[in-house]
Amino acid sequence: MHARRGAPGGIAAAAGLVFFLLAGSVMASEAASAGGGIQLDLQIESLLREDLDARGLSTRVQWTREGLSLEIRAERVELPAPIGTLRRLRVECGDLRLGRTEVRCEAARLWGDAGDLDLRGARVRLVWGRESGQLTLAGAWPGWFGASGDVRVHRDPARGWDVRADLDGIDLAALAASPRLPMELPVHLGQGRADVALRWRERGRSEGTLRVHDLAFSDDLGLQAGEELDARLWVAGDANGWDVEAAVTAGVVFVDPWFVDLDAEGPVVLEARGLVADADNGSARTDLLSLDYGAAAALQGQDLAFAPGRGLEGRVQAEIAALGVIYDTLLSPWLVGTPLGELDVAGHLAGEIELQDSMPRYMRAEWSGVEAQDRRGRFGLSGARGGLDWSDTVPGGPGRIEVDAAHLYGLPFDAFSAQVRARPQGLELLEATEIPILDGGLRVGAFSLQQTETGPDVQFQGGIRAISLEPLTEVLGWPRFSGQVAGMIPRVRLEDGDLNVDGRLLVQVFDGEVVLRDVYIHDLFGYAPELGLSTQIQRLDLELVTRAFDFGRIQGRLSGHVNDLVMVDWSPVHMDLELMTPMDAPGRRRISQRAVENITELGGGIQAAASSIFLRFFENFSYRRLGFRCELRGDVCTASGVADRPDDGFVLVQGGGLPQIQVIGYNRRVDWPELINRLATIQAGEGPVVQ
Amino acid sequence: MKALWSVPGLALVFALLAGCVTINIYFPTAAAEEAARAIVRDALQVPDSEAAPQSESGAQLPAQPRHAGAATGSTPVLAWVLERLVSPAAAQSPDLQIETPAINRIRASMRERAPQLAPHFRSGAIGFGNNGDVVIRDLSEVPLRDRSTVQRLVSEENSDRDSLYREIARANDRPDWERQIRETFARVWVEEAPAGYWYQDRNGQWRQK
Repeated sequence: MHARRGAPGGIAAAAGLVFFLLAGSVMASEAASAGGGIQLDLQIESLLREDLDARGLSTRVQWTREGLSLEIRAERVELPAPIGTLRRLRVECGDLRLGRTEVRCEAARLWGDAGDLDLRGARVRLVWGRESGQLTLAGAWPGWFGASGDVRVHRDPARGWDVRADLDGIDLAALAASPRLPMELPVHLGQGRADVALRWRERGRSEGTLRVHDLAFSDDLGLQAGEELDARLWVAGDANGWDVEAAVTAGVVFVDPWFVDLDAEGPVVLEARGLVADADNGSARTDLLSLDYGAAAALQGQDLAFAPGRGLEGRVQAEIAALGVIYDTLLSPWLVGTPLGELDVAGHLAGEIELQDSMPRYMRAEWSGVEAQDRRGRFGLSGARGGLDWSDTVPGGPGRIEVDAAHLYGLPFDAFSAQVRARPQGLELLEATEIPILDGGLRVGAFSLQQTETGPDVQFQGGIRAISLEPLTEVLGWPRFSGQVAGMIPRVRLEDGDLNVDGRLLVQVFDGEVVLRDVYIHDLFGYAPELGLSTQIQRLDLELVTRAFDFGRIQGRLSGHVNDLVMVDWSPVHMDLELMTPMDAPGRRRISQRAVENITELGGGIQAAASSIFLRFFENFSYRRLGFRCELRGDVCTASGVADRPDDGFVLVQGGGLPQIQVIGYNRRVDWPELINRLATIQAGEGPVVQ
Repeated sequence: MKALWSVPGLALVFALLAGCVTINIYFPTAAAEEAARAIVRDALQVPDSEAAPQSESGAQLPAQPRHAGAATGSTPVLAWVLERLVSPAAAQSPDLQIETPAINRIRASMRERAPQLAPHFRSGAIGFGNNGDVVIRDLSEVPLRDRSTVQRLVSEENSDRDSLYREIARANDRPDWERQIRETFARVWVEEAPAGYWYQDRNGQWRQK
């Protein structure tokens, strides 16, 4: 009975049956007198033990001059799973040798039918030490599941069971389809063969090697599937711990949403040393665990322990030599649909994580040579390097972030570095820094990012150190003009996904001033980023404006405002614009003939009160006032000018002196994109259409 | 001062007369359905000839810019020519606004993706979920190397659809309508899907059109 512990129940029960019948035959044969042939038949209706139910048993012992032969039959034997019901069991031993110390049968043969599997005269060698109690069963594998090889089962009362099996060419699809498999596989095996070399000892070190070739598997929906997979598993150890090496060396795997081509990325290798698993409570621990993902990444875990109630604990070190490979195969499928879902990435990252309750408690990371470029051109950075450590309870040590170059929608940032510190729920800047932008920069006096229950909370204080507009407009692809932008940003708030910029930015341009306020950005990396702001515009020099936009020539000043400007995808969809000749100190006011024509060109339905032929006699006209109002809603601009007329027109340019010119608009509903197109056409140098 | 007094006074009288009045802005079901139908047809690339007539209460869908009245005889030649060239703005008074740059961008992105998704809809690898998303139904017939591509397309499409439903609600200043918009779309996607496409019924069971 003792032998059954730890041995598969079925084998123990079968062995028990054999012992019992052998013992019976031995006693019977010894009782028989020597001389001529004796045949002894023993019929047993049924035999019941706790894990054995045998019916219709018969034993025949024949004692002839040639020797002793034995035949045991059973109509039906019930054994515990996975053996189950055996029918027509028959054991034949033609050369039974009964020694004083052992019973031996070198060429026993077995027949039986277990439904899906059967034995048809399988040859078995059987040795039983009568005194030592040792039992050996050995034979060729009966060809089940397409495999060939040898199996040897040995039992020593002192050392317990010792099983060796060397099987080649196991048909994994047939094995997976077998009802004898103790568990239901989550996938179907399409094909695959395996070789097994197993040495299992009840007491002592065991070792097993499994090699799988050309495996194909898939679940019902094809969300987990593999093809042409080669893998190997090596396990060695004893109750004190196991060493495991598992590797998938070739083939392709798709585990939704990840696809890994092992032929391209290199093998995935998992190694564990000193693995102890407790099947009863589902806990496991290992002294050392390593995972290699080709040459791209390597993880090493020390003293990892898992228990159902306590989660995963331990320390994991990671070395990612090819961040690009890891991003492409593992991160990007997971980040699809987010701003970080379409990047070209490269770089190196090394880090360490301490886990408790499956949650990180401490992390440290260092990175270098990191490149990340958005494929849609929204942002990018290159030459990033730095290091940071983080703990879940206290602020981390001083870390640094360095970047060689970066851009946001084409706005270039030069090299900068920042001293930062990770906090349990965020990040803070330790000392003021400046991110150079062209000849100026973004000064960051204070910055912190804190994750709160309601979302990320951003604190920012800084400003813009004068940036020249000429290079800025050039890199942004705008019409070039000179001037500069500067300002203070006392605060930046993040509310409902909107980035709100408090404070005022002063743009000094065209010898005047534009003050920007109430700036907000919504969905910065979405399909249609939205920028909102209001401006106050003071005394722009129209001569500089018209020169920059190549619009003819207008002398004079222009003041006004743009209230509630909303730009979606950098195009205005809403604003209340008003630009007028200022009342006080309007200065010299002249408008060239070409400017008049261009204004006429711009606003379809505008009527120049003087005929075009008349216009040609004069190069310049003086004007009293000019102005334009536009209430933009969507694509529609409801336009008006400096004054309304009784005929429903509105005055855009009110002449002064002689010859007097009036530019009058009649179309109050202007299509804004069309207006911009026409402005672009004028700038492209195409003259107005004059008939 | 008397006039000022009378305003709250009148309001009080009206309030008393009307009793307890709750003003609800109801979700414009018909308009939403029309809007969804237009967007869905566009995204599925259903030919216009198959388009059903629009209901009267429906949203005004992207219409051809309507020219305002012709220039009067007194308009000088130059301005007249320009007026012909520059189209006055199209009038829009939809019950449900679906014409915003963000929505247009999302629609363009979905339109661009449609030819890539179509074969997988036809093969039954993917189908319309009952929540207005695209759902993977059975990838077994898709070559293994292409499955992550299909998964990526589906994720991107769903990300676009999420943005679309949210943006329509936002464009109409009713973020709380997002759920109803999604429900409307979920129904219309299935209604407009070509025969042979798969969809999930209310219980999540797959059915084929």
